[in-house]
Amino acid sequence: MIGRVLIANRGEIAVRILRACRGLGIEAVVAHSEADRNSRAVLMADEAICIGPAESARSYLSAAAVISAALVTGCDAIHPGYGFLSEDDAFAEMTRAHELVFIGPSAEVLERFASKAGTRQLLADHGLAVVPGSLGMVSDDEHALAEAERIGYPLLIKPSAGGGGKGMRMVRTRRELQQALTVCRSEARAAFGDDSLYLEKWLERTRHVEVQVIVDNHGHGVHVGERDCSVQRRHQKILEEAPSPALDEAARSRLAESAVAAAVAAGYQNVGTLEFLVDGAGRSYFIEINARIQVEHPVTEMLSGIDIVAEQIRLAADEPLGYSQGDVQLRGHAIEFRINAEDVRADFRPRVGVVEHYVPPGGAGVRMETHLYSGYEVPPYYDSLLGKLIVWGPDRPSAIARARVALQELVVEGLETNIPFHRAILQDETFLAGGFDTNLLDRKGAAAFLDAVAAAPRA
Amino acid sequence: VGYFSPAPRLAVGRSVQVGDQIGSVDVLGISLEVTAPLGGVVSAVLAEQGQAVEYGQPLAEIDPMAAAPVETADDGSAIASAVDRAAAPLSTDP
Repeated sequence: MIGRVLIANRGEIAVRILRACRGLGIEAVVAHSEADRNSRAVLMADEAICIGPAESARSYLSAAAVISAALVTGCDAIHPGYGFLSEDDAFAEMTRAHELVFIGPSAEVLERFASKAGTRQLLADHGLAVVPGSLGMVSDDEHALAEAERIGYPLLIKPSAGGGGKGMRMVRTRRELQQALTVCRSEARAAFGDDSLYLEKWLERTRHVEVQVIVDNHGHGVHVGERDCSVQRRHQKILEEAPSPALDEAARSRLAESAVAAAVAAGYQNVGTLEFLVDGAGRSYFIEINARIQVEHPVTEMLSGIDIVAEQIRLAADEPLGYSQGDVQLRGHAIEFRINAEDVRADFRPRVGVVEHYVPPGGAGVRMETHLYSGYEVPPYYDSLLGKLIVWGPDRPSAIARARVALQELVVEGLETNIPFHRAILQDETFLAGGFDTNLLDRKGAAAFLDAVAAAPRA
Repeated sequence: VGYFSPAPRLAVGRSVQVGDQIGSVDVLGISLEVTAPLGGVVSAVLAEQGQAVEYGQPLAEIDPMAAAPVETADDGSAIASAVDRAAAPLSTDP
């Protein structure tokens, strides 16, 4: 039984986890850095504890500070959220060694799925198709060039650790590969402390589709459908929706069923997401598994009615899943808009400042996940995510119609955000037709979307 | 972040030198030294034996003898920096 949880994260996800705890009758203690003293989660918490300075390495990434904070505040579990320590198997092991429950997969499971290249091989062995790529890590430049010849250009260089597009580059020639390897290695080392890289065949015009799975510690798992995250810029998701406009009913259930079967067979536990690339012919290739709660999980919650964070907590306490695939019903269509403090026209440069005025949207099917309030100062030390607007409708056109209304209602004044950009996406013909691919935004440029709306007569 | 133990010299009216150990914070069984960020006379002890303390929490107030006592005694930042130094090793995972 879990009675008191330390939330070792910040921003909107700390608020989200706090609410899930409250709903389960669990007390929530929020661990925060000095820069987050005025964050909404800290203000809402049953207890808050400062674990270090603004710098993440000495606060949110400090395993000793987080675990000590959990112990001195009388917690019996730690929820790591996403990013920071969420997929760190050494941290999960240390948490357990101090007789605390780590809310996520066990240390062994995290370790098994820690290497992206290893995971790809493991899940390929359990029946998932994977993108053709290098056999394991490329040890040096010579090895990389040899593997590149074998796979064929264009290629994607990917770091074994981490995510968010860091250390990742697309290269079209041998020369580009040679130049990019050094850059990718240093980026990966700086971001993740691990500079191992692997190569993957670059597939043109793909979509990013991922499957949410929920697996208990006793070998029972279900999928909760897929999410389409094809609206990206440089591998960073901006908008996610479900179901995927790119798949028909049969392809969708084939993908989700094969994903959960492979995850269960490979010994995955707790909540996770299997990411796939889907090519123009509807073929799907497994790319990686995210062993944590994801930013875009509310999209799936809107369709299924399942509280995925509550499931994480329940399953971490060793409870059985308690339902089967037939009990999971997915209804309607949902879209999530990531609201970032950034200047879209200046290459999405992050912005900081005081939120002078915040008014959330409302109405049927509208949900806001955020740590914002009027007067909140966005600190400069962390990512630019201010919150997420999630809109549900019985079908895609009605979800889009409700989203337009919600994006007009949403007020965030005092600093620049990407809200106008989201409004522009909802006017884009390609998006409306469900034809977005992962590189469309980078090909066209964000300004083109904003200009198209500015030029159009107001409807 | 951990449990505080004051050193014997950390008592109201006692004088301390810069760098004197004034206590320790137990972090997961590892004792981290808290040293005085400035010399002076201890005017208040703000944390007790065994108390859970967070990062940046003031543990004591020290009056530097040579300076105007009130202003510096209430200077939270100087006192917090004692905790700061003690907390610095936390970033390295044991």
